[in-house]
Amino acid sequence: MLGLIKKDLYLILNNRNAIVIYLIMVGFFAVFAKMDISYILPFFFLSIFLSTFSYDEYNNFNGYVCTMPKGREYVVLSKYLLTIIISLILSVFPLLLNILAFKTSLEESLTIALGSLFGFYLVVSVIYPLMFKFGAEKGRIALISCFFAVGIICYLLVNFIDMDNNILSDVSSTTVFILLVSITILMLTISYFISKNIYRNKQF
Amino acid sequence: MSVISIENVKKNYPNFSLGEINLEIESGMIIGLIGENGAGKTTLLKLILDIIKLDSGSIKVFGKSNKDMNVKNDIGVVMDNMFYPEILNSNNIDSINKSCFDNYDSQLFFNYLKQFNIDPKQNLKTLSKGNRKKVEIASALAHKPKLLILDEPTSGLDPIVRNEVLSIFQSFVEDENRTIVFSTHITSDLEHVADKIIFIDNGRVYLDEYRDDIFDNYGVLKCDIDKFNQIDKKDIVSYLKNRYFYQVLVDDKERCQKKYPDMVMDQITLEDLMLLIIKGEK
Repeated sequence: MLGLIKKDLYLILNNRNAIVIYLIMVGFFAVFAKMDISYILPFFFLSIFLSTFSYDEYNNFNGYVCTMPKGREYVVLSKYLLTIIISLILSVFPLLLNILAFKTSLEESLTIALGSLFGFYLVVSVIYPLMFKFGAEKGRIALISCFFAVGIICYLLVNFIDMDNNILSDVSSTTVFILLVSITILMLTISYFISKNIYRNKQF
Repeated sequence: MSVISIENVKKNYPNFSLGEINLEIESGMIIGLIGENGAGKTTLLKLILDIIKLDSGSIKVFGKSNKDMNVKNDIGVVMDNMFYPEILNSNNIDSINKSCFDNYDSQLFFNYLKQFNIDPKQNLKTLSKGNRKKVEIASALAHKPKLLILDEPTSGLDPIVRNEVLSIFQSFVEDENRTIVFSTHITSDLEHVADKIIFIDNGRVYLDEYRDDIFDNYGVLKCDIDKFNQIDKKDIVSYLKNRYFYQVLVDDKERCQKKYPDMVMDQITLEDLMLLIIKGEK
């Protein structure tokens, strides 16, 4: 599996110039415009990472990987693992920025980070099985659809639910934290097993 | 000992069916797989490699299921249009292979690249088709497999490198514990190196014979129409009518040479064999 993770890292690093420029720009806005970048970095990474699916398809690497030991098993696991690891690493920077530069409280900073990651993993849980099933192009359409869906849900929440007086108002931050983490783990686990099943039966 | 056992294998597509195929591939040989485009050669190789699924039957490699992880460690693969993403270079491929295969030998990989004059820092997409094929061959050989499955491995290679690669393949099977299954349209390559020829036609195994037996038994009679009409129809496997003469494929060259002494009997080539079987009239 390490080999497949390396393969995706090499593909991502092929875009290193664009990544560096983007990070500099985002850093600039974060520091000088005091913009919260908690949600930006993971989604930026996702847009780059989805290109690894495209490369795999274009060169029919998916067929080649079936000839490798445990290739079919490890392809899906390596994609999920790399996504989780890099998104967690990318979440550390905005968290530190909020705490150290903007003097936001730890509790609030963690809430922002966790909320961003929850949204990110929700999108990943939906998109990855679609990518494995239908391919990179259709997966990108699914990604855009997800953004619209999330946007509509947020709009409905804000306009139809009293944010100061609802079922979660009396629930402690710790409980919300545990709830979000549990739901995230459950979502990703279900998504992983669906993707694994899809890929196991796929023919190239 | 059978390296690959294919039993009652069938694979159906909307416009094509492969099978039923029954084959035993023995150790220590170079097996040539020939057939026209769309005959089912690549489909068969993909079934052996578990790239596509069987509809029925079974395939065993080294006595185990072809899905077994340990089995895949011992198989080196060169498939047409199926490899690492082309923005990677050979250094990347080496690093990836190191973590994917138990017996992978980095030094061996770079030795092959040096032999083939490939710069390991160059991206695959900047290499010519032939040079890309060389990297694929080096990658397949570098983890010291016991079985090589090759789909058009010499396509795009210049004659000098093709000769080098064929020599490598011959050395590979010298110890008789290793095997190569080699699909190609360059039938002259197989005439030099193959021990056995499997001819697939329209999804069926038409021929599964030793190369020497094919050359000893099959021949091409050349004659005009008058002489053609004298040939016993039971002696004819198939025939092609050209502008000025008939080419008649026979499967008992020695007997036919005695029976028709005034006709020219040409030595068969694999290309002639394919042409006469596929295009010839039965």
